[in-house]
Amino acid sequence: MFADLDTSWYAIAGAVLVSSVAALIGSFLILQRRSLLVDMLGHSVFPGVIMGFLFAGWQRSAGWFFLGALLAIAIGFALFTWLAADPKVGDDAATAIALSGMFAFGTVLLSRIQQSAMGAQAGLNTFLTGQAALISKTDVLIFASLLVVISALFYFNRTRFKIWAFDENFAAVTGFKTRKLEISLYVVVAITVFFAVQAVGVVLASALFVLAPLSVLLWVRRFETLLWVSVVVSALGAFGGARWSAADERMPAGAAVITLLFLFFLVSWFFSPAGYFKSSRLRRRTRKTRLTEDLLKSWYYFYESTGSPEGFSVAWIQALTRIHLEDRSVRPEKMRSLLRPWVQHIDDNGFALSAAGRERAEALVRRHRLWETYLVEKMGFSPDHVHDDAERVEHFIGEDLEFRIEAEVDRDVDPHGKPIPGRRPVGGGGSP
Amino acid sequence: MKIEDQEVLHVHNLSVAYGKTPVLWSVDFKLPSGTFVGIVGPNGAGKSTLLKACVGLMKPAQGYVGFFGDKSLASVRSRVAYLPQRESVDWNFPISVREVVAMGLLARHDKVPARDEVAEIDRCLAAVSLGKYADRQISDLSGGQQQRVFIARALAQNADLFFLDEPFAAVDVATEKMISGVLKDLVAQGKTVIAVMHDLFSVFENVDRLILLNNRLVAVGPKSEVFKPEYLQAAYGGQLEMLSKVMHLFAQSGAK
Repeated sequence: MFADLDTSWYAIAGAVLVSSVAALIGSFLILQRRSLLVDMLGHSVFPGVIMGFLFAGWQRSAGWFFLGALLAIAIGFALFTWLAADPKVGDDAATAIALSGMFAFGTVLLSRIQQSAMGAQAGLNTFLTGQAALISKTDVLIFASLLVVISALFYFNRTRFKIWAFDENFAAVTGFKTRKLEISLYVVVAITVFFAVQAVGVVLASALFVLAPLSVLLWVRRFETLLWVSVVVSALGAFGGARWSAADERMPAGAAVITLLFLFFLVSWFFSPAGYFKSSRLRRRTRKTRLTEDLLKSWYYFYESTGSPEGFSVAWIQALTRIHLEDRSVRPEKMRSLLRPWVQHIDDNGFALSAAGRERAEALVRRHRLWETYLVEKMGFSPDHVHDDAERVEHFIGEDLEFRIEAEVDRDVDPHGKPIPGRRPVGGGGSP
Repeated sequence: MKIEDQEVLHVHNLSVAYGKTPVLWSVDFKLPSGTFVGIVGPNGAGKSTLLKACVGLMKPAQGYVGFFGDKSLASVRSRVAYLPQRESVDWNFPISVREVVAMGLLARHDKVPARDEVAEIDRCLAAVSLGKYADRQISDLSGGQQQRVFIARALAQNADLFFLDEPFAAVDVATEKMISGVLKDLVAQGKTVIAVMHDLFSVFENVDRLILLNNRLVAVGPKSEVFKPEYLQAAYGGQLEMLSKVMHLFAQSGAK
């Protein structure tokens, strides 16, 4: 019982540490748009550990696994660099080729090895899904020292790394040893990928690097903040996932950790200040506002043609919408609900607009016609080209701009001969 | 020796290739200090390549580039500023305007700016009228403002020789005026500005000297000697529209 607790604590500590380092490095990688590159390196680890198994004389050996993985990562990276330099292949395809090629090679090797009894018992396929529970006390110590070394490296060079990540050319001309920065980054990536594969498996390793920083980037606006918040988020995700897996032994830790981080990403993507809902809420509100304003405008057209503010109804709107409303699919109930804030009362005969509603309606038509007049008078547009533009712009013209346009234009009627409300001698509003 | 007479840049027999495709062939010229130099030529003439080879971003296939009396770039880096094309960086990077300009100071002495240097950053931002935007995220800026941030960063480097890759690309007229004003101030202080330029009108308005390229060096020298139909025709391969524009410029300048 007690021993069990011990092992699971190593697993949790190991997962937390490797996730923290991965998120720190991942912050650079996502800003340099190199997320897929980690995926490629993660897949290269697979044939690497199998080669390590062979080098070690057909037995599991952490040291040989590590060396084999580093060798395979170097091969994968070299293959990628070489292919990517050819403009006929390019970065994108080079990543795909190196990734799948290395992984397929690993799978072929594994199938040969597993045909023998010794190979079948080696449990090499744990690398496919990861096995945080196999993380030993030594591994935890290695992770911990790795974290300290890498954090120190980044802390003391953070500004340099930031400049390099933001503007590689500038960094190079300024005399930064960009080659050195790049090599040190990739050595660190290679080592971390190896441990990440042990924790969450070949397929999920890259997610450990990119999910937390990508989520955090949606919330923060500073590079330094991105770094430390990503580390915290990633560590929490790893802690939660590893606990989850420790509580339910059929649950692989890797999948649990990545699922939690993925959920956090989705939440961020939907709800963060830079997220989906924020902008779509804005869009919806704009659409609703425009629709309401178009309905109010149709009241003004009604009033203009009948000379009476009373008797405005859904039937009238429908008659006028054919010309003036963009959205023709709006049902009467919707019209009533949109107009409610602007009416005094609604009955079966129609709407009676409140004073505020009438003013708003008049202002919209005034802005529409002022804009048309301005475009024709001052900008040299032809009169039959200005209506559509005014239909959009009327919703965005505020009082300031309205006054300025009004001061610019000379005429009292718009290019179609309709009077500009508020400029007529009769005066605006038409309040009864 | 007067500062004007110093040779700030010496490009000797420079050839550069992308893979097997040669882009620059045997380019040779010297530039004095205190001038505004425009690198001019048609698309694909190797303008940006020349700049990149000068600042060491591309390895020449042959030839060399000497600075301030044939010194190597490595020994004079703090006196050289480079402004890449605006599209070469990710403007969604989580960083503020002030931080980008601070990079220029870092380039000077490789240290995080001390407190008294904050005033220096503010001065550079004020020079391009971005004082109000100091703490904005760079992704909030318009294209012209982004270009001005780059200019402010170059100013912060306090270099003697400025290489600018298309500083006037895709900016409005007001921004172009402001940037060219800032650059002319630098030249008036005896510094040298070398800019890749696209628009011949802007070249005519702003530069003192021209480097006319079309893979080979077509001509180099003061504007009055090089900005001529025969050279421009040689560089642009007789593009009629271009030439008629130039003739128009000549007609204008003759009338002055």
